Amino acid sequence: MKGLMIKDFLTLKKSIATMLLMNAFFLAFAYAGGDPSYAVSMTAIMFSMLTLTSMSYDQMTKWDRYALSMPVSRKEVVISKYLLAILLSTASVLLSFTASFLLILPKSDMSAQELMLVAYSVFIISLVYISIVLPSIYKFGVERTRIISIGVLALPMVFILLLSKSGVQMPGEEQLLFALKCSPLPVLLIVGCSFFTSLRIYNNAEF
Amino acid sequence: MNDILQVENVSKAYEGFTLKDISFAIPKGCIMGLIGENGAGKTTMIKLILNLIKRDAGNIHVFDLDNVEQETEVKRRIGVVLDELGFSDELNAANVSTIMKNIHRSWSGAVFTDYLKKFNIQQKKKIKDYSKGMKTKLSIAVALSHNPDFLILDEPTSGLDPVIRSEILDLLLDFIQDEEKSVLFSTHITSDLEKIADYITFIHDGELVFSRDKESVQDDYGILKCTMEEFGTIDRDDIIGYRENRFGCEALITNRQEADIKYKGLAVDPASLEEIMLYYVKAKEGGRV
Repeated sequence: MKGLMIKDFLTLKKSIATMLLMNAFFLAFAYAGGDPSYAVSMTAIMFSMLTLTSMSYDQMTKWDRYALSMPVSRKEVVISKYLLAILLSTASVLLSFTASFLLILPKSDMSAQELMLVAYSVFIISLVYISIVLPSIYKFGVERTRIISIGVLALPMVFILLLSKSGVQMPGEEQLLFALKCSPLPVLLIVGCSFFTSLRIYNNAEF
Repeated sequence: MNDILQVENVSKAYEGFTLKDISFAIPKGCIMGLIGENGAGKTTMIKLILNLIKRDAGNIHVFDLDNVEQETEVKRRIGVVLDELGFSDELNAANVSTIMKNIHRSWSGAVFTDYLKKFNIQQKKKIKDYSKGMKTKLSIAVALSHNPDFLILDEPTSGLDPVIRSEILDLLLDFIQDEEKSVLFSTHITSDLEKIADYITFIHDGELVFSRDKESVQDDYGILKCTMEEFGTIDRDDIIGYRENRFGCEALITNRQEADIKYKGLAVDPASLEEIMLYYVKAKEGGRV
């Protein structure tokens, strides 16, 4: 498992460096606009995509077939991808939060608590995103998942927009806060279900 | 345990292709060549041994261990070279060693470095700058650096020049020197096998044609040369396939010694593996090559 993770990080080294550079740009934009939440959310979205990039490399080089010819179980391969995705999300949110907190927050109207809430929300959203995208890659491959993932990001926004246009009352700040407080358990369940779905698909896959 | 690999009545069906009831075994200290035309089922057979695809029937044992039930234990002791390297172009040989050290318990960085030196591969050169030959050599270096007991190679020499091919063949011969290790080597370059193989397993269109030691194949099979008139007198059960040429006719026969006695006066030359493969494949398509 350690070998699989090291392989992913070494393969993604260049992409991670590019993402960090982009993160610096997002921070600069956020600094200019005085909105730290922009830097946090953009960085998290970009880093979430890295798991997709890693699996795209795997598909190109036929890595899975090669890895499974070594003493590596199918379960380990799937666990390593979830770990990679969770690590990247955690690192990106922590990094962008810390940078925003130190550099942008002092000149912004936002409080530290609000920024923390934004960072937490972004982290939750990225975990849900990963939970949908990973089984989809195992089932449909990377290319079709790219299209699906655009849908995953766009559909909720369209849904909310339609609801608000049709006059349905949107949840207030209190309700949103309550939802966030209750979120760890459902999110854990979503990640768990996603993992077992991926594992089932991967166990039946032929290479 | 005398056999490193035992394949018993293994079948696998795909839409449009079926590997049917394949059985063969590889004794210790041997190189087995797996031959067949493109699409015959060689890679499918290798994937079944590696449990990359699920068999529909039969059993596969490696080191007397079931290849599915004791998969990890089996894979600790085998080295594999597939038709593609498997590593991203952005990595280099030093990265590969770091990864493999954390996958194989018995990985030896020193052995790997020795192979890299032998193959003239720089540690820091990115894989994207490798030639096809270098990629194959790296793949072989990886397969050999955890001290495996069994090497499985899928078409390792295809697309390589004769010099590199010869180097790889020498390496395989070195590998089996202690008579405890074995090699399964799929290829359609039969001349490579004529140099190094001890056993030949021939699969055609998903069916096993034969699995036997190379010497007996070379002793038994022959090309009988005759005129078309003489060909008319030959028992059709003695020949696998035939081809006409401007001097008459050539036919593949399965028992050279018997043919020498039965068809006195006709020339019977030894058949190469390539000829055997060609006649079998074409014979199925209508008898004439």
